[in-house]
Amino acid sequence: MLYLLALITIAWLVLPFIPALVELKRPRDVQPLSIASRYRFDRRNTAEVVASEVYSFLQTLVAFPDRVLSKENPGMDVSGRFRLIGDEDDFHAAAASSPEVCNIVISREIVDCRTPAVIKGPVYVGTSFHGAPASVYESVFGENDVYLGPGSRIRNSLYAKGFIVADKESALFGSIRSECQILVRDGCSFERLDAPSIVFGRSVRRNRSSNAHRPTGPEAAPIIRGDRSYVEGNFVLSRNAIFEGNLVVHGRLLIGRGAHIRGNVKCRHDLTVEDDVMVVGHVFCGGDATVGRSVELRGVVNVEGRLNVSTGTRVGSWNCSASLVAETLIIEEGVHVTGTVWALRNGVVVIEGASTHRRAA
Amino acid sequence: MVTRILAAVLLVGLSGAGHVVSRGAHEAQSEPTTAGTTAAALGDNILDIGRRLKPVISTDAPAGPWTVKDGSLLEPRSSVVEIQSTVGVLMLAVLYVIIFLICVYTVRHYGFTLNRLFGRQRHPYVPVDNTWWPDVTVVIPAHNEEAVIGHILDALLAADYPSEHLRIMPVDDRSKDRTRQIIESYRDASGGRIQPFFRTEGIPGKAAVLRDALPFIDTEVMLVFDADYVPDKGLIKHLAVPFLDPEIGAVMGRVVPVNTGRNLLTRLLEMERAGGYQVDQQARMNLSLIPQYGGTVGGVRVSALKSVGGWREDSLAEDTDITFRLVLDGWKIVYSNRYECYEEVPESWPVRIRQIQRWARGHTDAALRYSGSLLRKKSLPLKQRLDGLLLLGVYLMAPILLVGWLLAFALFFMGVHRLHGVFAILAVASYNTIGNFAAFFEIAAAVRLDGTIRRIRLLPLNILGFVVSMISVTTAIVSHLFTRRDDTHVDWKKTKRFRVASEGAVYVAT
Repeated sequence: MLYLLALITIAWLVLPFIPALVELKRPRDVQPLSIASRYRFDRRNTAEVVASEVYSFLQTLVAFPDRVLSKENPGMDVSGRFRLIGDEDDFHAAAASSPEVCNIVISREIVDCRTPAVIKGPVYVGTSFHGAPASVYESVFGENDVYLGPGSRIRNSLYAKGFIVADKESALFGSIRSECQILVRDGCSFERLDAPSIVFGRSVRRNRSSNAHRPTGPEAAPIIRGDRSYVEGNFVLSRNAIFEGNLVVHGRLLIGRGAHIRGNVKCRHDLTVEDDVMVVGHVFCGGDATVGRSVELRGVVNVEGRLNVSTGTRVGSWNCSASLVAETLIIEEGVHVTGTVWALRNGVVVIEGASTHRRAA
Repeated sequence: MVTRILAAVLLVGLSGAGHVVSRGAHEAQSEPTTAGTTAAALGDNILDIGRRLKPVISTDAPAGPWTVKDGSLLEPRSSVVEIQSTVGVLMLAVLYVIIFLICVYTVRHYGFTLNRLFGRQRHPYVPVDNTWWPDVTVVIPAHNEEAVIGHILDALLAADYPSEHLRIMPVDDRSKDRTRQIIESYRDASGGRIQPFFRTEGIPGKAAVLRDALPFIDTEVMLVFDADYVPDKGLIKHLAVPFLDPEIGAVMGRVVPVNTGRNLLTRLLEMERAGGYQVDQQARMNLSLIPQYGGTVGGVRVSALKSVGGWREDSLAEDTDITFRLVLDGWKIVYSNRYECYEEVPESWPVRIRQIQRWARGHTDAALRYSGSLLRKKSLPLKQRLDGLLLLGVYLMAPILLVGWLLAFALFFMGVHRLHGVFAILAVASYNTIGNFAAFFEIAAAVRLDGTIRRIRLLPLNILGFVVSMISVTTAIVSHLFTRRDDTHVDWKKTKRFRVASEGAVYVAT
């Protein structure tokens, strides 16, 4: 019995060392972790990578059309990776093929679809793309404008050098990027949008500047200056107040209507920004945040929880793009962003006033 | 007596299998399953081995609780107990404190690992990629870095950061090789983006270099890279973003060894680093504790740095030092696992030992300096104060653990109280199984998260690294505690570089 116990003990000790010593003798996993490649495979660069691949193919096609195109399958290249299409019928034929057969669908003409399609591979359009309602795309890369019909879905990415319009109830997963403007109608859901101008729902003309109603003269609120102001508990910045400096609040923060902050704001818990507030700086919030109507936020807005943005709000400015980041984003129509919008979990565009109802619910 | 010691060593050293042995003994003797009796049976079994080897030992030996006669344990003589009791009780009290500390660190290890595996991960600043970028100065302390300095300057010049907001400042600290010439050649070709600082006097050491460079930095953010690091082109942006938050005083990224496959040491260090960053640091970030600024692949807000008095030139661990000074001044430290950069880890044991000894001395210095202030800092949440204390004391645990082992051995033989002796041995044995395993669990989880699970085969060999570290750290701390404070600054030993200039910035092991 004793010998058996000793044997078990020795085995218990020695067994884990066997694979370790084998690995030491014949190393099989000695490469350093790859970190440089992660940047290259960032979603933002996907469009450029595919576009460069397509450009390369098209250049070869122009130079050697007979060598590149397959004779058995008209419209396809010899490798089976690219498929050239001309009209909607070709487009549906491409949709019917599996991605293994055809990886990238290429159209050098305008694509104008009337009937829904499900395209499992990337689509490259040399000019403009007009998608049918309720269509599903893996990725779309447009050299000009891209229009997605109502109820369409992007699974991975959408890139356009012109405008992107996503009609009602569309679902935009992955990265959506335009070099001009993205218009996202109400009912759409999204993850990441990136453009010099992002409009949600519809453009709203601002009736007045956010400073127009602010009293002047003796009635004006005093200017509060704090280079680095810490507030241990909750804090209310009164209406029409002007605050200069960085404001760090450990509790909840309410910025009263018409207040003007020239500096960065950090709030560890919930944040409420009332109507007509202007913040020339960055806003960071550790909890949920609510932004009222016609608010101007000229820096990064980073919320770790849920963010409700009401109509008429602008994030970023014409001369400096910004980022609007939250775990869950509920944006009313009429919001305008310059830069990036990133909903880490889910983002949705709702009609005016609906975000307040959702919050109450 | 020799056999007793061998038996005890066997008991402690083989404690990984302790519960198997004790269960076997229990089954053989069919006794009740209390901890005391099980352990007694275990001791009995082991001594039985010794008795078979040398049958005369138990009759002449001084009486203790482990004296064996006719297969049963005898009570010790009362006079021996009286002599031993006072010292023994004191030793026991110390051992209980040590056991408590060990338990705390064990729980901490497991807590961090479970959080990293199953908890909510916080990367609050990673999604921000569009903003007006702050002015940044990247400082690269360099002393005899001719093999590596060119690589980091190339990498920084290729960085995806607005060039009008980025200033690169290599600081040459009296190099005796070609470092200065290389920096000057890069400066001439960079069109003003590289603005070097050539240090010609002052005490040696990274902290002193950074302190002297600080007056020349007029940007909002100061990033620090060691000369052997090779930053990815997007890294500067990542590291600069958290400083948009007005509460952030310092930022830390992850360090990834590049010379992983050189030898056993580099492979072990790669796993150790993975555990430390992938699990430990990120879990502290997730739990809103105190992530540590690590001195490189990171940065500090210059105004915050100046408000706490700048870098301390007499510090051997300027990173730990500045971490706690910033925390005590109300600033936050941010860590993100996604800000990654390659580094070169030591390829020989003497270099590794010198490196860890320097860290241990600097860390201990910081522990002695800031523990009290941290405890008294009422504005910090309790969890942050406790985590800060544990972080400061992490190197002190090496000598404490050694003392614990010695005390456990001593109590085992002195036999102050039978149950306590058993408890002491079981505690140390438990630490060897559960406690050490916690750190191994952490490393294994990190390797799993990195997606390199085949490396887990080397995990048992990490015990070698732990033993070397423990002995090195203990000797360093003991010598440091008995060294005059004024002498610490001359004790700086630069970590040797192993890269050859012609190998390129990122090389793969052969």
